[in-house]
Amino acid sequence: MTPAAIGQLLVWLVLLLAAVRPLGGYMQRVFAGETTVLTPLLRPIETVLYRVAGVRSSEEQTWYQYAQAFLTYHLPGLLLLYLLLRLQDRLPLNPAGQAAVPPDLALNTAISFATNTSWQSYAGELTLGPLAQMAGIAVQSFLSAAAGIAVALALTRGFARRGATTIGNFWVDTTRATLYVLLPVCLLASLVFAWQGVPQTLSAPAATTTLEGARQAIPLGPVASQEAIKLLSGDGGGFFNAQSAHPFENPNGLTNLLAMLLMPLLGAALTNTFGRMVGDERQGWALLAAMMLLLLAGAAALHGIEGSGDPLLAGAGIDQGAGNLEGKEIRFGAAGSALFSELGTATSSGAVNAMHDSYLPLGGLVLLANMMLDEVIVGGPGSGLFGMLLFALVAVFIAGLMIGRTPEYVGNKIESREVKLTMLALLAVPAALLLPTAVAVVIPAGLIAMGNAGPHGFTEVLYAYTSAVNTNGSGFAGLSMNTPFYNLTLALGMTIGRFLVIVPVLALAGSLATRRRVEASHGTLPTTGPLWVGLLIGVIVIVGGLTYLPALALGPVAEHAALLGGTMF
Amino acid sequence: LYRHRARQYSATRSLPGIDAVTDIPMLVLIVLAVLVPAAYAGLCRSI
Repeated sequence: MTPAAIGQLLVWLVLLLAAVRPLGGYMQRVFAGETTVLTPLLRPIETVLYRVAGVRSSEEQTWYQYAQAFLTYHLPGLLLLYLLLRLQDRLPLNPAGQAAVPPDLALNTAISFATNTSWQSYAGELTLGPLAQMAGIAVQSFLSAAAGIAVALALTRGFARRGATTIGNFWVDTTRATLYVLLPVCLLASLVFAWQGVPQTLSAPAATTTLEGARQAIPLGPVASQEAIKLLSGDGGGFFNAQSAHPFENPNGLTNLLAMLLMPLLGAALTNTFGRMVGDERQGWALLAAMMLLLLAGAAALHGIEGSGDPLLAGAGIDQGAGNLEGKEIRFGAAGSALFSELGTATSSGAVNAMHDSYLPLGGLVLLANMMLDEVIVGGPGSGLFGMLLFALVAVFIAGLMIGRTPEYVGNKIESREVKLTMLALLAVPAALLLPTAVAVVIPAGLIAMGNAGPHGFTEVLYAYTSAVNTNGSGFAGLSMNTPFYNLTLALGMTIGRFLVIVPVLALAGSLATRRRVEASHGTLPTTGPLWVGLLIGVIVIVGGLTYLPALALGPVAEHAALLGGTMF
Repeated sequence: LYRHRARQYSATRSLPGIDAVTDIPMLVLIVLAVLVPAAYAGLCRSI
């Protein structure tokens, strides 16, 4: 790594870690209904919202009621977003006159944003007008992030409560997540983006004349506000097709740094909220340590791979001192792109400021691995925490098997029901990811969309399903995925990756809440120290490796071997 | 013939901009995307 890359990484890390404890404590107070600095301003609005919606904020729900509320919450949003996209050409605020979105693409997009995935089979500003972006995409970014935070809170309450039958109120949790957390942070971030030159307007596209004398229309829109929630929510769907490589989304180094801070902010801070809610902040720090070590390992690997450049070009005598610059913005270079891509795939954001398709094969492998580890390396707001907690249960279960004791975690005895529900949640993702990949690479409808042959083409398909099912949403490029086959199968994958993971997680929360407290003894595995962090990382890497290594061998590993032999795809 | 007649029906009866032949299956899929996980919650309850 270059000194500049190390400096960038250190600045980012210090700023992120400095925000974890204050924000984690703030969220703990918000979701406990305690007074915070924003309470005088927002409590009256919150009260009115409950009254209008008929929500009794003091009433809590069982896990089953919580799950039903979670699912019911998504249906109107899905239908409204679908209709908004289909009727776009007949609705106002469409200055560029964008056409109606085709049905399969509208379905894919609606499910994508309602599930916090932000997979974009559409072409950004070339497909959607400002109304669809604002009232559709940005609204779903808020709602899906709030729902993810709510699920993480419910699971945390499951761990924290003893002999309880309820795990909170879904409507209260989502309302507070939106009002007290997402909106204030987004307001501040939007102002910074606008200050740095990101457009925030409803004007028609700007008409300009290029150096060659051609006329060009440059789309504008409410970009700054959408950029903030895009990054904070883990949704990651850019206003422009070129995403954060577009100078209107990401004009300079400061906005690039702000974007890299917003992506993991809530996921990291929620570990501290977890620690506080279970009565031991060290539990949260241990989870965050595991996340950060995996993230830093990925960032260092990406810097090393992309910073060393393309070996074939180097062999041809072309200077690779600046690293592999294919598909990267010169403004950010290999280092600014590598850390951004690491965060875009490790968190569930899926935001990109470089073309992942142009990363060297092993660089692509790191990006794939980040997503394949179930988005637990910080992950999305809420989804990263509950994903990491699932692996924590697997880790204590394996440790329990090794020493012959019933597994325990934060004072809870982990029994057969909890392990079954954990496995249901963890197995849904690889099943929904690997099966359609296998189908897509053998049938004409899947093969015809590949932009490249051989292992690189396979990686394009594998990346698409990995990104969709893990609710990441970043695109590898190269794959022409706007076809009925990919739109429908990716939509199915996103549905499974979100809903069929969260339902068992909520059942797990309900099951844990009923347990009596188990006092720690000499035989209890400590879940706060380096040994625990190492065990947790080991379990994540081994489970991920056993599940995905064969697929990775067929894609980026085979492509790397071919590259060393002088063959490119 | 079925698709042709369905399109005629769509053109005359459905909302402007909404095509019954293509949109209704998509709307059904959206409802299923929520109903199937709801049934799955029942399965999880039985574990």
